[in-house]
Amino acid sequence: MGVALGSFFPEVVQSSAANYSFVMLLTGAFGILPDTLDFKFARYFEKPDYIVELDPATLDPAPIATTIAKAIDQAAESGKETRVRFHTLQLDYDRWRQYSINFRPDSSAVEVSVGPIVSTSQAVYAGTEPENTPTASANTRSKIIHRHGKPTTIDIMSGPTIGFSPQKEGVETVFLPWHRQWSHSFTLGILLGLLGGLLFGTTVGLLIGLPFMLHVAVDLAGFMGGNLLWPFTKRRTEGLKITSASSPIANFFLIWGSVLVILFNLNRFAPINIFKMNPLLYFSFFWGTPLIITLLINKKLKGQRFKEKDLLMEGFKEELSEGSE
Amino acid sequence: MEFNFFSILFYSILGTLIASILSLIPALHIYNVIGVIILLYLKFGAIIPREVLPFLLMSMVVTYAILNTIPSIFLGAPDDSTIFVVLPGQKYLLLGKGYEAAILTGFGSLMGIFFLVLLTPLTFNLLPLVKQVISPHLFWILGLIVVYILMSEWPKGTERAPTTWGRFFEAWRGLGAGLLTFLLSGFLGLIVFNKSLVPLQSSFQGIMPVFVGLFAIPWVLLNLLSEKPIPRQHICSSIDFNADLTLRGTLAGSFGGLIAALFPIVTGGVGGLLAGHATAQRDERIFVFSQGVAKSVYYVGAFLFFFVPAGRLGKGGLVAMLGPVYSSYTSQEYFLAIAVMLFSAGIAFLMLIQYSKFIISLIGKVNYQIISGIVLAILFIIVFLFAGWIGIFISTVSAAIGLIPVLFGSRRLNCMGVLLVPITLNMAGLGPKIASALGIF
Repeated sequence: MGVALGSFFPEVVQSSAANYSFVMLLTGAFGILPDTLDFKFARYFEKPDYIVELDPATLDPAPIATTIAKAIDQAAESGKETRVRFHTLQLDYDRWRQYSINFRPDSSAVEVSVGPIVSTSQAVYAGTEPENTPTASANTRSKIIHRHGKPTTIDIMSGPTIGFSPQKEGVETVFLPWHRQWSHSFTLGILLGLLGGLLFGTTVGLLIGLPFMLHVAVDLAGFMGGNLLWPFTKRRTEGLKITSASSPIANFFLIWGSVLVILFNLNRFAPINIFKMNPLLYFSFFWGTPLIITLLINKKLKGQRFKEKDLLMEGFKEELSEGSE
Repeated sequence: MEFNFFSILFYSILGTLIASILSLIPALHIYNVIGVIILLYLKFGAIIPREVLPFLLMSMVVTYAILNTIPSIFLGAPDDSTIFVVLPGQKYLLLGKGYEAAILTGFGSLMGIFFLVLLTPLTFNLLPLVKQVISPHLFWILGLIVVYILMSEWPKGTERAPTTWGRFFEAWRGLGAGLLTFLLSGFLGLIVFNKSLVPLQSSFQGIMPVFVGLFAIPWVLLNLLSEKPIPRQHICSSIDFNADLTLRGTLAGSFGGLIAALFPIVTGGVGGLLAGHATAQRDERIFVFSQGVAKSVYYVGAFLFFFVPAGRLGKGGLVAMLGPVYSSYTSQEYFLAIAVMLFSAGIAFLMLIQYSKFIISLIGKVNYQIISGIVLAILFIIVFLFAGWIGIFISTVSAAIGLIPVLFGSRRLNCMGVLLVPITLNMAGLGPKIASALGIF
């Protein structure tokens, strides 16, 4: 997307082709930079207050639930954010024991359940759920604010950190508190752009700052949002929840749209236009039409997925009833 | 040009049969053999009629694209376009599901072939325009791919070191190994592209020892040294895959394969990486399937586009070798190529089922380390036959670089620096200057 933005600068497109300039690489590099900063640097410098892990011998979730409840109460009492890091439980090179944490704001409780064994691509190995699914619950003295609404699943690679941030109404859960903070702010984008502009000129400054800020803006379409005006703001602004970062359709059409924009602009700013097409027609035909078709197919397949699930459940129930007879 | 139906049919069957045997030989790229066939054609032209030569080669490429899954998964000897199939494929193998992985990849390849058929209207009308638009910008687009490969590799550890710096260094050990691999591969690429290391008569095979060393030898060596036994393989009667996953995998794989088929030096592996990220695929089944799609769209598409009259769309070693001998002037040739492609793909897929069963029975009877030892010997013999002792030397040096990501758990695609660095620099007119500054020109 950063590159698509860079392609709107006629002088950049033209000088790239004419002078063999690599200046467009800046748009790509600074477009990815916010996530690079987080996942390759920031995450290692956070300091958790508690580190928890599942005991492989007992698979007892109770100590985890108790520690979380303790961290929540500590945050409420001290007025400072407390952080808990959850280690994963790796069984061998491709098998991980899954467990999940469910925050229950209605009863001020934390519930931890042990789940099945999964592969590194998070595919469940059927029949590996522990018998009588071990679940433990711990109550907190403070009110829990859990905006995400869904349970947090811990299974592969390095586990997540959850922060507990004291607010007026209670203690808020903050998933991955090191992520999308200073690195995902417009202020840092402006600062980098200004620095680039001072050192290498206005155009380079824009090619650095704009793709960086576009990344921050696009992330707002999801759930987590970003700390937009760091250091003036201390918390992440919630996302618009239009789509999720893991949605294949949203990701594909975002990238595809960017590719179309780049092609359109490269042609527009070429010394001789290879094709001539109304932009509205161009984007409607190559972007809008495939999107509508994909959404329609997806809707149809979604219905089919539910039907398949229902059939599986029916079969399962039949097997159960046959077994009991 | 007159085309005889039976002649094309005969050579398509012949090409499919030849390639079905050659595809099973680890690390023997079909282009190596095609290079020899074209040399033979130039010397003794009468043995193959000129009008059927491209169709013979088409059937060979299609069969190779589908059947090279077998050495990749069962013998652990991948090439640059199958490295992504290997890791999940090897995982499937270690879980006793190698057959399932092979069929899933093969099914993906078939879907890739169908995608190429569906693409026909765009192939004639739009792709030549796209190529014209991007041609002056190719060098920085390839540069962007390099930036993306280097910046998008995330740490893979479990972060259990007790200190902050401990965790940081644990993560950066893998990331650093990835960067080192890319730099060393790039440096090797600059040497290979600027010095005539391989004997002149084998110069068309120049890059082969490098690829065998970077991609095939490290994995085979690891299999040889590993003491983990290969479990009994299950021959399943059906595969857990539905229309939804097929659609998603085909979209992702086709996107990646198409990028690889259109852009110079971008291989199926690189295309697959871009497509996987673009579509945020996490399901391992989609991943394996989409790599099969990307592989066939890349290998076959790059050659099929060669048949677009006056489009000059094809790319890759095969087009470079066949270009001086044959040109396509009518759409009839394109549609004949489509027909041969579909015919060979159908036969190759049926062969994949039988060959996979055969290899599984072999693995069950012979110690896997013995098989790996034989594979390693074959790799060196092939390199020696095509490039002599200097080829063995180049393969050994390349294998040392290729071992870095295998041992440190970083992305093996970083080895593609061997092509990406020298060609991107050459396209920007910087290659000779940098090679000269490094003292290798």
